[in-house]
Amino acid sequence: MVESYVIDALAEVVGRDFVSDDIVIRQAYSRDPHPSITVRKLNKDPLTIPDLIVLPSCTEEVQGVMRIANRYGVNVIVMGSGDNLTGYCIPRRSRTMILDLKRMNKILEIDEENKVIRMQPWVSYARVQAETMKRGLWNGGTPAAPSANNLISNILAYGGDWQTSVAYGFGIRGVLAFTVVLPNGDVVRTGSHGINPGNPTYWYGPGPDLKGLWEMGSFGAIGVITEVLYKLHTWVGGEWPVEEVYAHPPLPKNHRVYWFRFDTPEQAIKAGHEICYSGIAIGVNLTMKSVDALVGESHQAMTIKRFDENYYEPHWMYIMLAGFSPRQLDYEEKILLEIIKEVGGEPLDEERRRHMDTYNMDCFRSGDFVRWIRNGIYAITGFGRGPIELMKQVHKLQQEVVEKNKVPSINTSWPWYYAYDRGYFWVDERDLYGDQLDYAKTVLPMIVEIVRNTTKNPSGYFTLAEPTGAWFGPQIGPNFHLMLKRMKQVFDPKDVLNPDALTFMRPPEKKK
Amino acid sequence: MIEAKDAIKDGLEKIGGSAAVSTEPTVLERYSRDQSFTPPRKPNYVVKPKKLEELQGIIKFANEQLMPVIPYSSGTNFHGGAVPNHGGILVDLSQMNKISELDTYFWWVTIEPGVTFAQLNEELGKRGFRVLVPLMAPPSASVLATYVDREPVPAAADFIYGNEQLQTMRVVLPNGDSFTMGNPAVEGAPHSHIFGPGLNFYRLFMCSQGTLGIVYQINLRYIPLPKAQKVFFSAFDNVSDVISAMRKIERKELGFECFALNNFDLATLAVNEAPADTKILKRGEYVGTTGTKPWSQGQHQRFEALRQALPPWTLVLTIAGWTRHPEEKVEYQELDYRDLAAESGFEVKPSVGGIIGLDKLVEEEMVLPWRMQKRFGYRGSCHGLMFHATGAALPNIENALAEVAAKHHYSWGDIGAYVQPVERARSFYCVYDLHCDPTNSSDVERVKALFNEASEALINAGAFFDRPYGPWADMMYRRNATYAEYLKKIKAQLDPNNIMNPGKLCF
Amino acid sequence: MIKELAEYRHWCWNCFRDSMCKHVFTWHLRSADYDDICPTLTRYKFDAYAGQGKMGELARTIIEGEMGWSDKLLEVIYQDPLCGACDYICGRVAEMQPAQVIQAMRAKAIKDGIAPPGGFKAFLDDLREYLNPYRKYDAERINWLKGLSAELAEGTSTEKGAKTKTLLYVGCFPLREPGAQKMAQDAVTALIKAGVDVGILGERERCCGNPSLRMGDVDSFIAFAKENIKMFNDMGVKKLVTICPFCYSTFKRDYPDVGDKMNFEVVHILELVDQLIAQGKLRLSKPINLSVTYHDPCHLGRISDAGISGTGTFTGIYAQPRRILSRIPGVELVEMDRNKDDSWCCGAGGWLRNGYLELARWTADKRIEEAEATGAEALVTYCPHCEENLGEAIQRRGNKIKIYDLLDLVLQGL
Repeated sequence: MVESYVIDALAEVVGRDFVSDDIVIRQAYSRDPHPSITVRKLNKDPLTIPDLIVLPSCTEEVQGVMRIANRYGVNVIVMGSGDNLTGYCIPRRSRTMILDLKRMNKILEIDEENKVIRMQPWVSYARVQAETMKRGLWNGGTPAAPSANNLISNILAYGGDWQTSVAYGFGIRGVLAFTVVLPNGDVVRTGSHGINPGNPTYWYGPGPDLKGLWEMGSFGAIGVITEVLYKLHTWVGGEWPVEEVYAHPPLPKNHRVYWFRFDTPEQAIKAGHEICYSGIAIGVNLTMKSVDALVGESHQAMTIKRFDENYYEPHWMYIMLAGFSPRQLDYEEKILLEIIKEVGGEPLDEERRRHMDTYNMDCFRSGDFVRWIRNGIYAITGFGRGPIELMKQVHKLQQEVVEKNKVPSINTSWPWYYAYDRGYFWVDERDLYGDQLDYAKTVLPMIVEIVRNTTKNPSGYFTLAEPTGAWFGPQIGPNFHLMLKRMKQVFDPKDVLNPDALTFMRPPEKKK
Repeated sequence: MIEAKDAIKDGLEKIGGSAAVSTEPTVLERYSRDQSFTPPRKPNYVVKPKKLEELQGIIKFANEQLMPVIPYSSGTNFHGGAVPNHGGILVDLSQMNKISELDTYFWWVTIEPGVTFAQLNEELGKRGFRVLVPLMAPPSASVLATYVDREPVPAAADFIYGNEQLQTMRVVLPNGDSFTMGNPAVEGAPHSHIFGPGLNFYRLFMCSQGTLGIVYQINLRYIPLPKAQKVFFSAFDNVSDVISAMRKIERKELGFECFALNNFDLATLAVNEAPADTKILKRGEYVGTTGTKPWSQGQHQRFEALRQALPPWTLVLTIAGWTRHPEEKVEYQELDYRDLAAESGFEVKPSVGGIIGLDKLVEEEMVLPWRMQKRFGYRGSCHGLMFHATGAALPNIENALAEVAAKHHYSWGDIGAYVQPVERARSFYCVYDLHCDPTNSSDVERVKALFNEASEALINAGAFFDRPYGPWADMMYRRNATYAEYLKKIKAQLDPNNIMNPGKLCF
Repeated sequence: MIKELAEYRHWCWNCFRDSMCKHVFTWHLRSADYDDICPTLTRYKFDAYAGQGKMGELARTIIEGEMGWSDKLLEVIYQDPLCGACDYICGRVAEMQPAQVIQAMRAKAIKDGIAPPGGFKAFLDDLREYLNPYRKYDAERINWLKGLSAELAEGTSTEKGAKTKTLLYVGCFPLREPGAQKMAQDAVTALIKAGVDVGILGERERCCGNPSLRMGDVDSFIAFAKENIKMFNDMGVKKLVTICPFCYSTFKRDYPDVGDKMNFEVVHILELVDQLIAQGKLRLSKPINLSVTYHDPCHLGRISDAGISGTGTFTGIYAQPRRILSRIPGVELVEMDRNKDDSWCCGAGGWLRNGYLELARWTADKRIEEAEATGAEALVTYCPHCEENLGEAIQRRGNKIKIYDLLDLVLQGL
């Protein structure tokens, strides 16, 4: 419960229409599809329901809200789309406000000359692209996730693994500057944006750079991002092809997407490595059978049927080429086909390739791709990052857990890899499918076991699960937790911002 | 006379052995200065650890004694970064010079601060690889310190081949603990990215001049030596046209290294040095702590002739092919470049100013640069204004600089300039050099005043000094007081005794 | 069968919170300005007003017994034009349809004896009494015929209707007010001029049941549906031609859920007119020099079909009105960013004007702004509810853009 005088003070800042403590309004913010949250809801955990929802519209309002929250000790969870799949926007403590940034959805400026977009935090991938592509620019990619989600939250949570990370890096690499509001109301701007708001000159420092503290993994726990300067890259695709024929959408101009199949994972891995290290392509990705079956079919029944029939196979790869000139496309295609032939892969047959037509458009801007979460749990058990050869070990550990348990799963084969930074593959999430109600309670301990196993594995593990602090266990060493606590002490000494998400500053709250 | 017992020296010797510690006046004198305008200050002790445990021991000890610790890697900072402000223990890291984990499948290598570009690129060169090197970095420069200091390389146009080739960073914190950033925060994990754990801490330690901790190891990405390469030169009359051309090149993501030199700097690069200087230049020992020996008259004459023959600005673009079909890559990129140049109205040539072999010279410099050290010999010392700017701001920045230079009776023709696109020409990294005779006190005063006044003027015109050495620290931090305030809070958390290179940045 | 709320339990728990229901389908997004697709979420901002909020959370809490009925809960689930945007997008990516769940929540409220909120209470009471949404008597259903010329009146008749295989189902909208009758008159005029043998039911016509369904009075809806199906079957109707898109979507999509066999095909008059023009039976020769933009009524599109958009099983009526417009000489079509499946609701859906007039008007205002932004001189559509709400918005705001009924334009072009 939050006192009425606090609510009144908040209403003075954002307007009465944009504060609510009505239970009906609050319920809509009390759940996300992570199995741990499903279990909490099945157990009717009252702590899942926030006490207040507040919607600010600008930096100044966020400052006002944060000062009030800080003063009166109201916990604040900052929310973008709330689609982090890992429960970070679901309260764990009473006296929690959700700061829903949905009203902060403006693109403030597109600087075509310097290729920078300046925007508020609740701007989706799709919106960024809709406005930039017509100017011959784009943000550089889309995650295999809903492009209706806001770009910066997606990056702050995961690092922004895109299907084009081989060329553009993780989405983090696109962040140029932040405006951050701290709980005491201070506003920190980074880089040249700090000297002159909106100035895109340079993005680090001066001197030690603070931007890194907010750009990934902070979960809104050390500051509220209210403005972002983000990179744009040249887009050679022309106008985005909005067509009404949806099942087989055309590719953007000057882009090609190739689909290949391999008989063994070793072949796929070798091809992936060679392609990356040859310097070609803007996207190098190995898919998983289950995702292909989901995205390639519009109905779950067909997905399961074709999955079982192995119509969709484990070791497929899709490669994206973008050509600044026809010569470049021809050169890169030559290299690509040469590599595929060398390792013994082959192009996917036309029938199955056509099933992946929607996927091709999803490579640039995901739309139908969201089918991948159709009808069931989508349980991220974590991401491993590292050379693909070592990811096999991670996969093996995960596989052991899955096979030991009896959850019907259509993801029993090869995990999903994106190449990033011109050479390193990234094991994507281990997806476990199954109806939330039927399987959440079974899947949750499996996730725990998989994560605990893989954090011991030398592949390195950037985990996303709830709560964070617990997953970064002793294998990382005591300094890590100390460093997190120190940062918390600097930026949020009263621990009001998403407590427990980053590190534990106080004992957990027990259910009453 | 009984020598007074020095408990601190004893303590340091216990850590690294007596040979590692020096209090010799000549030694302290050597470490008290560099050729910048930073006032010389002697440390009290100079220590040379050989391994991590010794470094940790030194820092822990320094904390107990509340003594400042100043990290020093190669002394090629040239901007006073390693000059002590409050005395203390200067830690010379040159003996921590191991190269390890060199992996030719994943293209990475782990190095310590004492590893130089010469050392590393020689080792990598045997295997057909190289790390990217800033054009202005001498061969003796510390690779680790240069990368941690965010100095852009000529290939900084590409997002990854700029400053972001780091994959792992390990730092000794002010309390003496080691902290690992990147994937290997999980022990045994591979060096596949520097993000995390949790937050991107590594950015905090970059450009920190050792004030938050001492980086003692990085894992770094490298790339193959080109199997096929061409270098192209284009002449321009002014920096605006250079910027315009660079933008167009980067819109098409053409080429690899891309940078521009004004005629002063290009003449410096290409002028033949005195034969006696060649070895010293190649060893990276051309510039001492007080500057260098000025050029001979002959060298000045050769330089002047070259400069007259060169256009005001020269844009250099390399096109390289590495692994598969390298010649075909070079061929198609050359055709694309020529198409672009023709559309844009500039020429692409194999040389400028009639210099024979300029392309080969540039190719060499891209692997292990040494020639730009010569610029220090123009008058004996060189003071670079190193900043970032947007393309639109740069002409105004030049005008501001010209105005201040004129006010101080400094000839515009005596300013060397280097400009390169960073991140696909989203920004431009610039170095405008002022030269002075370090033995002439009035010249020093004049150029110092010019340097300071020009720095303010440039910032007001849009320059961003992201590496705030010397006077730039105050100039930049007073323009972003909140940022500085939070840096200080972090400093207070990490280094409550303020022992790490105190007096630098905003600390 | 019409599902009860509890049968959607798994849908509710499987809501993924992907935000797709809140925005124009991402592949179709043309500009950041026209990204919103959910009127209630855009207006009120809190997630409870989105498909995700209503299906994923509110419906779920009702099913699980975590939350009881309250004024706010009723307000949130009834303050919704049920435009089907969330149905189309969520259906496309997740095979779930939030609007169906919202309807089921309303049905549960009614079944639990809860009255709908706001003006909807009186609306429902009147519906039950008058058996149509306009508080008129059945005898008044033929008033619109009086506006027809004698020649046209002869071309159709209720006697004909009693024997015809092609029945023109007029709907209740002409009862609304005399001005609304023209749409029915134009429909008949167009068909007769094309030589189509058309019968009507006149006073025997019954409400399709759409308003009852939307209010949650499922029992009344089923009663309407069963009666109509039996009547049409008994009459031997093979083709039921509808005018009002509400009726069209109800017959097409909702009637099959009732379970009774329908021996007739449901078509919309625009499909017929499109064919008639192609066959040369309606010749458009008179030029009308006008730049227009076309508003796709939700009920001719995404809410009219239970199939999945983009799969070939979805049959929104989008091409036909555009073909018709292209055949009128001098008419130039400029599309709004949000068109076809991604059309922004006019605000009149779900009989919103009767319950939450302010929201209905606000929604219409947004659409008029979008229409004006195209630079077109006129906004064309084909739906009595869209035309009422959008027309009123234009008048209220004093906008310059004109609004035209599509068949009115066709008749002008004959």
